Amino acid sequence: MITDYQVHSADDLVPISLVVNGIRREGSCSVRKLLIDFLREDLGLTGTHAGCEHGICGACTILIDGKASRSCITFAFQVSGLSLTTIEGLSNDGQMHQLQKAFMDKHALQCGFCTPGMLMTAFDLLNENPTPNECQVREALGSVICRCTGYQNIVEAVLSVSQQPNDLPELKSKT
Amino acid sequence: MKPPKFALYRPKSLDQVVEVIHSMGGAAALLAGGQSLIPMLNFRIASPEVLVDLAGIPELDIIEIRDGSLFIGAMTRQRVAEQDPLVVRYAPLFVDALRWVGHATTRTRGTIGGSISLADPSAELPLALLVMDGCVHAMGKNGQRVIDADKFFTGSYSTSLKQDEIVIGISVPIVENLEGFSVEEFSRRRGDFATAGVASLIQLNSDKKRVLRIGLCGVAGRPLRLFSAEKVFAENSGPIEKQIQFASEVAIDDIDTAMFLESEDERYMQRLIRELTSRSLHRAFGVGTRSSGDY
Repeated sequence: MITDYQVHSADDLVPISLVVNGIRREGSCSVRKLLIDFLREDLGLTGTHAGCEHGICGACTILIDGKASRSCITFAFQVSGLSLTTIEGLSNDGQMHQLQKAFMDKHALQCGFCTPGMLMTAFDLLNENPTPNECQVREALGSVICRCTGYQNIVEAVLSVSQQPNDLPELKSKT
Repeated sequence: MKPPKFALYRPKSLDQVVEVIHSMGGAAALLAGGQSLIPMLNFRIASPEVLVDLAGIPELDIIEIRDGSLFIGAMTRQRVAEQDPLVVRYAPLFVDALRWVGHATTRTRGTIGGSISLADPSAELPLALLVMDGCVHAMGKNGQRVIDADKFFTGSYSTSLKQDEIVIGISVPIVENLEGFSVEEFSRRRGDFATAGVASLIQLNSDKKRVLRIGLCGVAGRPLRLFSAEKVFAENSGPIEKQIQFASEVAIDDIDTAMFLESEDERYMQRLIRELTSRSLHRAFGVGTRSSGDY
């Protein structure tokens, strides 16, 4: 049997090395540890929220190599070597990202539980398409469940940012 | 809502993957994008002893032209496929199908091979593969083989893959003279699994006549071709609008009402299929622009 590849038993700890919000982070965890739990428990980044743990609610949405992904249905080991952005990385040196300011101005959150997921999803949308129309904004935000707001103010917040496409501040990317 | 314990194998080549599957049999689950598997693990409705991580196999993550066909490797991320210039140019029906698959966020991790091998009865990629006359490339202990889409999807979550085989990719013939295409779907909430979906592909044959291939998903556990609707365009000519109407009426002739779930109202499903066929044909022929996807 060909066995010159990695085999980890269920009780092994795997080393994890990755860049999170521009900073290299190291750790180790069980093979079955979900990325959402590694972020919250091992890295202390509790801004990302665990809602449904089966990929439906979107509260756990982060960026993996710049693209929105569900951290609750990703294992930590799968992202070792990659670059992640969480909600903590959206602001820059204490300055709110334009999207965060728009959410504040438009009252686009109430309990705030879905908000990190909404922001990361909106960020991903605007990266792909800096000037989405309302239909496209609703399409993207429909992938995150909000039980409080009825979505209207969130849609308006994202649309207000999309009116100024050239103003999106870059995320910090020092390694 | 946490996954059960499993051992993790991270093979570096296809041969190693096949070896593991062959020796472990049903005790091993393949980890592709994880967007369907990991929810199952989190719910603990699946407890494989071993997970085989396919992320490190270079032959699976490729998009290229091979012998007049477009080959898409099984580990190609759905989001990569929908923006790849070769896919956009030679298999635009896939691009239109992919916009319905989950959400952009799940398409970041979800793979083409994962969706094809899961064979969800309402899945859009199996439907698109069938309508495009594509095939599935599989590899097992006895080597590689190519399986026509029609023979591959056998029922709900059921394929003709053997125990020791894995999907290594899909291919579709390069379509010349593509005239139109469209995938239309209905679900109770946007982004939900489809109640039903219709995919249409129109090509010009050597006699400059329009040839339609059209299929349906969400009924009967696997994608189906709507041959009665296709015949309308093969046998008739005349105003497109009338042909589309007629084709939409006869589309349900191919559906045995026994295929509907007990929970589904027969007349509702028939009406839905007629409407989706009509929308898909209108868009494919370029005579209507409203898509089910528009708010």
